[in-house]
Amino acid sequence: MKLQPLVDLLLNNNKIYEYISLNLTSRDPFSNPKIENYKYSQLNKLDYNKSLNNIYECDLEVKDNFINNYLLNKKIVEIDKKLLSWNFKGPDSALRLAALIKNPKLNIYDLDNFKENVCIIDISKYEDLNIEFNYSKKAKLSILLIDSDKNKNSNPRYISFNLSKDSEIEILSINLNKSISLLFYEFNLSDFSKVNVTTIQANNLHLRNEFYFNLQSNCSAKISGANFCNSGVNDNYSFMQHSNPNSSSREVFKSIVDKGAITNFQGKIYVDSIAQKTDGYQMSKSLLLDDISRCNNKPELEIYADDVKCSHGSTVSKIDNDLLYYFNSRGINSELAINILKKAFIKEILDSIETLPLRSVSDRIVSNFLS
Amino acid sequence: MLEIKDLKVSVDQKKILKGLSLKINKGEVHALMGPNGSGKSTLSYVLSGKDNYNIDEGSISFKNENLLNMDVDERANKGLFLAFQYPMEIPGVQTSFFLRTAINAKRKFLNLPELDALEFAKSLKTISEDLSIDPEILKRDLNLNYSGGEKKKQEILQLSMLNPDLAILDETDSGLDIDALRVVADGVNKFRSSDNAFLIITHYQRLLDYVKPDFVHIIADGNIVNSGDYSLAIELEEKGYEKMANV
Ligand SMILES: Nc1ncnc2c1ncn2[C@@H]1O[C@H](COP(=O)(O)OP(=O)(O)OP(=O)(O)O)[C@@H](O)[C@H]1O
Ligand SMILES: [Mg+2]
Repeated sequence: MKLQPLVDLLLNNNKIYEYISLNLTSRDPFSNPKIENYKYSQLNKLDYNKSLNNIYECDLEVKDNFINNYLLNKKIVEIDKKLLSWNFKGPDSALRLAALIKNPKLNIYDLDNFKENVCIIDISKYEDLNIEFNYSKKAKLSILLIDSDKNKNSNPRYISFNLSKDSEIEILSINLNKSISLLFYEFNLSDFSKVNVTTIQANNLHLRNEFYFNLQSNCSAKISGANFCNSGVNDNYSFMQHSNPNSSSREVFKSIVDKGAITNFQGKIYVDSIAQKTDGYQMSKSLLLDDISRCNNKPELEIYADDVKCSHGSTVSKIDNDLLYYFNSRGINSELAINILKKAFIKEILDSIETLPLRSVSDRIVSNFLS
Repeated sequence: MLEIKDLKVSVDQKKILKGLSLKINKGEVHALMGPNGSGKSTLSYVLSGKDNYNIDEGSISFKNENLLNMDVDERANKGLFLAFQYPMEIPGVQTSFFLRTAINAKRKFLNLPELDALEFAKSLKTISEDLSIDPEILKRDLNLNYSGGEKKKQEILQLSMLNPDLAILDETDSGLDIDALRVVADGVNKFRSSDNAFLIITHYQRLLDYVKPDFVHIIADGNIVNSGDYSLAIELEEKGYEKMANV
């Protein structure tokens, strides 16, 4: 069951570009908050002249290398067609996990230095990515999604995950150092399955992420997003569809906006008429650091069942002067205090990551950009 | 150590301190008592350098320098510490991390190398044990969901770790249970030396029974109206502010 005509359209790879050029240019970027479909930023009007390197004083080389070194130092398992017919019983979890993934072109990296294994997927290698996860023996698959392409303009990508009954995945998706990037994610959750997605977006010029969730009964979906040190326009869109009873969803998006950047969040919790006992929660919070930056948060509910619990909220705040004073009164200067407060703001997102190596990747990204 | 001369302070045109003078020498403990709204916290904020207080007249020197020219963090690093009447909650910042950052900020200011993690952990352990602070609490976010008393103890923990020359305690005793008051007083007494000084703001004689002040001042309507020794606090407890302020 597909979520929306939009997603159907996207499923047809050839039409992605058409769709994007069609829709992204025909709508106004957040010009009027009352317009229901204000979610699409008008890409042809975006300012591409800003240079990432000039805007943020950070060594992009080091950051790219960080990812590469991180990967190259690890054992790499290249999956080819033959592997698919293998029957894995052994302890090599990377291989075992690899076999679960139908796309034979996927690269699987085994981070065997860590207690838990993580499958790293470089999305720049695929036009579109469809991951079927059919493993339900109480094991959890952890995936790190990266885009290692040095090209600052990446093609739009469509990534879908289909979770079978009882399965569980955790995903950390990181978007770094892009001039333009458009990503569409789809998660189809069968009964009793569980997904925990974290998205970290830093040092991008124009970025748009769309997340579509379709939940059957008794499943749980969690998405946490952190967005910081970006310039230009950064959009996050989520559509959480509860199609059957007893499922829960939690969404928390946080953005730190400064230096004239614009971040937008629009998220809808949709509850079908039969999806009783749905428990939905959505929160978007922005920390606005100056007067030239902007953020738009737009939470939405569309509920057709009568026995559900759904809440949503949205806040925009500045750095609290009384908090700064408290830091200062303990000898900590304002610059350092603001950095600490930025990290504190994002911490809730990082805390949602359960898999240790994923957490350490995200910690490193945060300390790279926010110190 | 500290010399306040004829200090007049206003907030939003409202005059709060009206020509207050006070001198505190090394090794001395001063108690400041006075009715609600008399300007005690205002004085402590002005000393620490909080924004939005207009100094209309007067001067403050701290260790022979003009305190009023210094930023808040500079004052702290030069040895001034204010234990707040209402400590702030800082979500997302672990208490022990905050403490370590503060200590290292001061060390950097004094051109000392950063305190290594082990040494820090050791002194944190000793001092929090002295103050009977549950070590688990130090792993939590600073002051977040701490009880009233736990917050006050946390301020004294920071004080002890940061080792200031002048410590101002703004109603640290309010909200402490009897045992905690004893523990905090012991902490203060242990820390007290001939090299540092205290300004203790309090409403109650009880704390002063434990931490014997050298001087007691009564503040009313923005001015010190009466000064004496410990016996003044006892007299105050008997007679109340109304009578004492008119002496
Ligand atoms: N920001 C402000 N704006 C207006 N009035 C203020 C401000 N801060 C303090 N005041 C006023 O100044 C007076 C002194 O306040 P302060 O907090 O210094 O009193 P205090 O002596 O510490 O009282 P308490 O014993 O209740 O703690 C009060 O009347 C208070 O309302
Ligand atoms: Mg007060």
